[in-house]
Amino acid sequence: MTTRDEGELIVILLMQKPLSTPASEPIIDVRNVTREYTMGRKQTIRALDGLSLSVPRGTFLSILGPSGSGKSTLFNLIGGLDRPTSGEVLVDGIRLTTLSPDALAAFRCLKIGYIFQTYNLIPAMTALQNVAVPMTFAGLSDEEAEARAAVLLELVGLGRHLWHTPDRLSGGQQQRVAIARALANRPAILLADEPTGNLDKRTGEEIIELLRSLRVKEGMTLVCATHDLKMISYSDWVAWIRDGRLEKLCPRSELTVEEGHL
Amino acid sequence: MAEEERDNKGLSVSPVAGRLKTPGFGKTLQYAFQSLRLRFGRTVIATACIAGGVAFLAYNAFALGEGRIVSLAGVPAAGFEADDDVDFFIGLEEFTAERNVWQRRMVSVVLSLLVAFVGIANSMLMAIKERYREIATLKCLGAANRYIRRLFLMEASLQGLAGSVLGVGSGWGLHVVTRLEPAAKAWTWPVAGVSLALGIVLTLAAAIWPIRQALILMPIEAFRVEE
Repeated sequence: MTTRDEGELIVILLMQKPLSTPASEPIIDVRNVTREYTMGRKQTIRALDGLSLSVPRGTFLSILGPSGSGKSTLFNLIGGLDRPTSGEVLVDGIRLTTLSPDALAAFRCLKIGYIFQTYNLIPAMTALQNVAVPMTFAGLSDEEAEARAAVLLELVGLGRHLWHTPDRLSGGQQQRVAIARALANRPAILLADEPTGNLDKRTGEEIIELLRSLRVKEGMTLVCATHDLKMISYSDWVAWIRDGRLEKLCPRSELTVEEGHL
Repeated sequence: MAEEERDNKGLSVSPVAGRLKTPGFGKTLQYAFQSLRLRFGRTVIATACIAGGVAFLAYNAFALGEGRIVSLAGVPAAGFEADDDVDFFIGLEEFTAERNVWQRRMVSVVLSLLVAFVGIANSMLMAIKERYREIATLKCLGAANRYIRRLFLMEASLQGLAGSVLGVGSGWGLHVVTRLEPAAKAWTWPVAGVSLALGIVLTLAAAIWPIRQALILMPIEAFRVEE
């Protein structure tokens, strides 16, 4: 019983953290981070090589870079899905590198909304249950969670598909469910990894429009790894990653976006 | 310096293991059922595998039980009831033969236990490996390890129970069909109960290792396993 009380305390602390951190403080602070992977017996691959990056609260940052540049690795470190070999990652004032696995799970649940290229919905659950899952983890009752899930699905335009399982939804609809699920616990950061990568052009544009309008409405930070020019044209800042290093970080307005290259 | 202080404060939030709520028993059971139903084909194969193993085990166990009953009621007694030497020696011979049969049946039971475990372990390993992506997704959404463990053990027990009931039933069926003496056909509760329990325990034991493997991974590593 005591462990549960302790756990609830941690959850409350995690939730209250943004109140104590000043708005001027960067919401994401990556400091001199290195991430190495061991391939085979002796070969190590350095995916990130002393990268530092800080993202102000409320911005829309696009991360660009060729495949193998380390952008997914950076994305995973910010989301608490992976741990750096060295360096520090702070998100909303929380130092991720020292969190225990359970505290990291709490962090992922309450602070981050994930949107993946492959949607990653739970196949056995209906759209409504999928969106409700993170809320039940956060301590809402089933009724509260499902009521809010229905509101969120309405918000992403799926009010009529609450009871459909992922196999009965199109790619665009699945991504909308994923977006509703990402918004469930009002996260500080929305992390999107190639959110339009598996969608056709029109559906992709619809998803981008939706993300853009939601970001304005909910006022959250959006970090997006993407190749999509439309997505880039909507972002405030653009980070260019190459060979595990931050090659360039500039406001979108300083870039001229042309088809094919920057 | 001021920055360092803030960092330390950030640290003080997190030294203890933070815990989130885990969905209740009913909700977890519902999810387990939905998962088993969704992968109906896979569930049927895994359950059949458990049933096959348990049937083999139960068949041998029923034979073992029967051997014990026969030996208790008949052969050793024959030795003691003997009123002359010839009868006594015949009794002893029968007794030794019976003991041999009993030993052989015991070996069959142990062997079938091993075969059943290997079969069940294989099917549970495949069934759980197939779902690393789902486990990784649950971790991303904030599932604590103990919730994922509970969910998968629940699914395994449901399969273990279904498979063991079917297995004990068919093992008994085979036993009855292959025995000619009516006395041997008695349904023995202890044998059925032990076989059923062994089936469930073997299934859970087979599930624990792959679940553990999934839980020690960071979500991103679990995503990669399948690729």
